Amino acid sequence: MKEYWKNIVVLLIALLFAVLASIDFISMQVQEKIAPNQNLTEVKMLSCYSPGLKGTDSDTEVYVFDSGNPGGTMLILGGTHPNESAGMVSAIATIENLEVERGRVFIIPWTNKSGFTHTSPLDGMQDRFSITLSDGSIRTFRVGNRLTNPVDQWPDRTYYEGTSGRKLIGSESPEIRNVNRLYYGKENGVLTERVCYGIYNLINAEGVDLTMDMHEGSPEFLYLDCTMVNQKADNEKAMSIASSMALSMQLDGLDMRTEYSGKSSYGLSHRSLGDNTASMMTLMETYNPSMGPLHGKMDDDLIVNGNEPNYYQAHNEGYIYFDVPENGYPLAERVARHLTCISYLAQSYSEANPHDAIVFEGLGSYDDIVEKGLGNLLKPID
Amino acid sequence: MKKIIVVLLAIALLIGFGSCSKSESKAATPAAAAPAANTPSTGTVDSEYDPNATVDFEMKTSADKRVVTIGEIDKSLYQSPIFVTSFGQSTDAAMLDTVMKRVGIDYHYNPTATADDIAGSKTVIIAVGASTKGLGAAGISEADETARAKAIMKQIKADGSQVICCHIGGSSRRGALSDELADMVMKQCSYIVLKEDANFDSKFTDFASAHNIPISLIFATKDTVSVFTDIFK
Repeated sequence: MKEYWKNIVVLLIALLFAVLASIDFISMQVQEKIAPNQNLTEVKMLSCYSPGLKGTDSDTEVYVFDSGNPGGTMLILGGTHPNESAGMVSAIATIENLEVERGRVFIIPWTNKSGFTHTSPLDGMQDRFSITLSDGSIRTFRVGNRLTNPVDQWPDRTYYEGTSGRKLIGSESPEIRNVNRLYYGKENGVLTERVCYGIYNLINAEGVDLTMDMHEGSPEFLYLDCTMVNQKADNEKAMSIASSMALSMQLDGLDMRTEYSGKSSYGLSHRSLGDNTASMMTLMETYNPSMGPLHGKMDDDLIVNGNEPNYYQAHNEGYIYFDVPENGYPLAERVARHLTCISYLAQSYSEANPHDAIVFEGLGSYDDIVEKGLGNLLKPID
Repeated sequence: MKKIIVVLLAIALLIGFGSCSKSESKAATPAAAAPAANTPSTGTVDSEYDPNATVDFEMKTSADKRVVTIGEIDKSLYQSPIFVTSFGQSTDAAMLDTVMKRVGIDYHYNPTATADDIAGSKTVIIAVGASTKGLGAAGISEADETARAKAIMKQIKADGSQVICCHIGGSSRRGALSDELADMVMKQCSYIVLKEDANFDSKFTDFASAHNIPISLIFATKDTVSVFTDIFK
């Protein structure tokens, strides 16, 4: 036995590392707490609309704000891609501050909940970031992966055709775990499709009139600070509403434009939910430097302060079209942009549909949010 | 005994290497982030213009000097009824519609108007800019859109209506079809409103100068509000 002691020590050390890694991996399943808001009416689970999600890691909370007054219904999606932090933080900030006066608002902060339980280690992505609140307390949020955790859905099929007709082949095979490629979902499909089906069914069952899907993208993308609008028979009205929102944002000094959803953008929320539901679908992306291949050291400064000199240099040298700010694009500004977009979108929708108006307060203006910062927008957790 | 263990470990190592390389080539899933980075959530790109190919040219407008007008505008030309339409079905027409609402004047808006629809209008404002997505959404082919545009210009000529050429989508609205439609409108217009970054090759200012047409260069799309407020109010 004595001659094997070295082997045993090596095995024990390996076991220790495995245990520590497992604890860290499992800790990703502990989700962020949300501060109470007295205006919140109800918290449902998405499995109410997609029974196949019940008991899975993808079943996720749906926060419902019902004014009790007649009006339209809006759905806000955050965390469709868990590495696009502004979407989730915007959704959580909305839940903690919203006061609905007319109509109803449904909010899903962790749309791909399973995606929040793992990271992208090969991208050097860190798994959490922190925000210090005005009372000195610290709130920590996860940075997940844009795809469903393979622990929950595996293997990725080498060929798959979703309900939209989008074919996932070759390098796009992993997208079978991407919520924003599998709309309008399938009741008994793969786990990610069941999430999509839940949202599709929620829109139909609750009569959602207006949907915003909040995203972020790396600076190389063409459509940053742009709202995509569904194509369908009444698209003229939808585009009119979105244009009104965009002009309001522009008049506030914020870049914003609108585009029609692409003809071949099958499986994406703005296209396939637009095609298959009555809701007006929109999707907006803000610039997140931590998502691009040029990013440097991955830390809170990059995620929270959005400061990446490499992208500023790339823009100045003509390689990046997006006007990268010299001092970064902080998470507070990205969240403020999403919330301003939501507010103006609801306002424009209400002007065009006065009998189905969606009226709410509590989110504040862009300048208010940026000035006060996320430390004041997010509430302390008791 | 020790030798046997070493040999077994070496074999295990070889099997391990073998299985690692197999699973990589078979599934290619660990690199999920690589293809993902190339597939934005906004979907497919719709522009003949390469946004990463920036063109350096000296702009007359800036964040501080938002509108620059070259030439004299005769505001009395632009009488009601006013009609707003699109040539190219880009989202700029919807934006122009929103702008006109903010200006607060009476007008008719129909992005797919026919020559008959605009007949009798004294002022026709045309949002120029082609979008394959917009054409697809409207269910119109490029050839049909060009034919519609020609018919409208013919009607305008017959009516003697005033035409304002409105190119407010910037450089992303430059391309073969957009330029063809812009040329068609500019030939008959009495005023041009242009988001200046689209003028990187001086196409619009050269035409305006050669034909003595007033042109307002705007720094951003939102500046259309102040331009039209000045014209119509």
